[in-house]
Amino acid sequence: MNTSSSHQITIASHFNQTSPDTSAELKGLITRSKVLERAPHLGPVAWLVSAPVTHALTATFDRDLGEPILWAWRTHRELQEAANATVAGAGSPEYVTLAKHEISSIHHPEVDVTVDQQPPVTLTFDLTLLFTLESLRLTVQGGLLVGLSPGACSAEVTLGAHGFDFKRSATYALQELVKLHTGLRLLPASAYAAQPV
Amino acid sequence: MSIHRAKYLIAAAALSVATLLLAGTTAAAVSQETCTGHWLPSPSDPPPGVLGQSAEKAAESLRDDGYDCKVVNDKPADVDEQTVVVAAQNTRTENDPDGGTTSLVHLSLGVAMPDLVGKTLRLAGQTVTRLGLAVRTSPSDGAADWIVRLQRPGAGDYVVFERAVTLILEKPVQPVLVPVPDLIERTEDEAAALVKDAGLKYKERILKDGQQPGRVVSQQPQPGELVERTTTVTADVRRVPAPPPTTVVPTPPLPPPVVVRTVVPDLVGRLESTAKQAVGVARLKFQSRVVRPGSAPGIVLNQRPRAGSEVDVGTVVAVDVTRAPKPKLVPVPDLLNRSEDEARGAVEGVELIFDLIGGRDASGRDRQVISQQPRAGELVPTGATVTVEFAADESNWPSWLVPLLLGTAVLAAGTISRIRHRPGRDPKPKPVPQIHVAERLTLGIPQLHESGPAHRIRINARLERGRQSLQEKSDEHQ
Repeated sequence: MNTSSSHQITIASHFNQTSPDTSAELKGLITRSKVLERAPHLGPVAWLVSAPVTHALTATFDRDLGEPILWAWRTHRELQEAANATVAGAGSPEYVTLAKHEISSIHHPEVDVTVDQQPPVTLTFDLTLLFTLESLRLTVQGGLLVGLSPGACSAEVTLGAHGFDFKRSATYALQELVKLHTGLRLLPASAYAAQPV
Repeated sequence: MSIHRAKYLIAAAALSVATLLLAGTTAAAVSQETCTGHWLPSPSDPPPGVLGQSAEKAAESLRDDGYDCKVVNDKPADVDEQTVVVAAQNTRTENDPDGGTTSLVHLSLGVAMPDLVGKTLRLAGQTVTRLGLAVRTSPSDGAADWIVRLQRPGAGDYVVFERAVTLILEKPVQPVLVPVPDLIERTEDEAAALVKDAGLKYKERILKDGQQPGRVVSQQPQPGELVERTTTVTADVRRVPAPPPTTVVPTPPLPPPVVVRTVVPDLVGRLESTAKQAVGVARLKFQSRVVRPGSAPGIVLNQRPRAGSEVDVGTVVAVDVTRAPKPKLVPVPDLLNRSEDEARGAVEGVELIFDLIGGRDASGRDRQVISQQPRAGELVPTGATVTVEFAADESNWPSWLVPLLLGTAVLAAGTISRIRHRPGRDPKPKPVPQIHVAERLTLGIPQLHESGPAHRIRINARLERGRQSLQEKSDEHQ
């Protein structure tokens, strides 16, 4: 299990296992896959745009790997009810237990490439994040997620396009992926209008 | 009957009634005072059996048969009154003061033995002690978790208070534990086989529709949990969605034929939109695929199934349609330093249009291209115009000749200057005529000669929020 907690775990760093540059391995994977050479319309200038596209794509992956977990939890009925029940005041917390569950998050990152005066070419990638979480207990107070029982979370990220794909799996402590700080909102911002956080 | 015997009878009856009135039905009345202890005439029949009865009821039964009785022991203080019964009775014949004999029944209080077989020694011992009995075990050093295999007295027998109960113990057999197999995402048949192979019992529970129909989504007990053999493992299986209900046409007295077949329309040559409409009218499904460029986009090239064939309603009709012709991109040839004829040939050879600035040279002398637009190597669609510019007429020299001549001139001037300043034998310098050289270096047009084309590349990347879904392995929270 990756237990390092000193750094932010991003989608890009998830692919990184050896290099100090968090996006170096991801860049290498994209380059070796020759996905840009396979992309339609780029053709003879593909080798020219490879580095900029790779750089731009990995830059978009500098996002918290665990963000989709919170987004998915926000759709869970029991958590929503607990958040609604506690958002009004500073009463006692409510607890929600979740059985072992899976969270999938599907994205289609796009890169527009414009060469000279030609019409832009859009490269669309498929990015799939799959999290498997053990059963856990979440503490909700004031409409915020304020507590998490310790547990492991395995993450599998797959990036693909134009006939290639590669994936990388790792297991993290859940607290590494979902950092609570002073509490995470489980409801739309408007619900906290009277309760500034 | 003698006068004494009559007095005894009257006195005994009166005392019995008084005792019963005082006792009522409360258990507190159970004592040695239940029976009179007075002399009664000796009956001819043996006394009735009163085991298992309460002391009051036993005394009443005995009295009815002409027996007096006496309770010979006490109930322990912490024993529930409701459990106290006559556990033993003993009839004794004694001489009465009248010279005859009388029978007195000794009643021993106790309890009915509960069934202790199968219970642990700890539990059986607690039960027996609560009933005011003593415990004796065999073997005597049995642990608290040993199991009672046999008991004496047996279940239902009556035992007098403070008597010992013997419990035959046996060491408990450790159950054989087996791990529960992992059934998650298995099919129903696979799950059943796994459970059976593990020596467990399989039970299936069908859940509502959802992802992974026909597969196990949760189970109890959990995978890897150690359970005894023959434990039932419950598998929650998503129900396979039922096929869409078939429309049943109500049958009137003279039912028209149910339309389940239809004829495929002819779609070849039609526009995709009209073809799709025709397919819908025929109650079929439309599926198109763009295959190759054509003179006009969106024309149906072929279809499957063929036009005129009869198929089931809802059948997919697949068509191939044309797409708009794709412009052909060609690289602009490198025209620099080429003559007009060479440049024109190169441009027109790749289906581009040749244009020049300043028009054709009337002198007919050979000119060379000094600039071009678009630049060499740039990809442009066929038919695009390539504009070229030629060097002026005066500059008919080769481009390398001018710098060569300039360099030669500067070298010559330097040589002359050194000769002029060489020290002579005459110490007096000769007057030198003043010569002014006006040097002017005109800025030439910098030329960048590229070995290949340059490109301007702009990149814009974005990552949207995406779609998230959460699926719990167990339904307990959904």
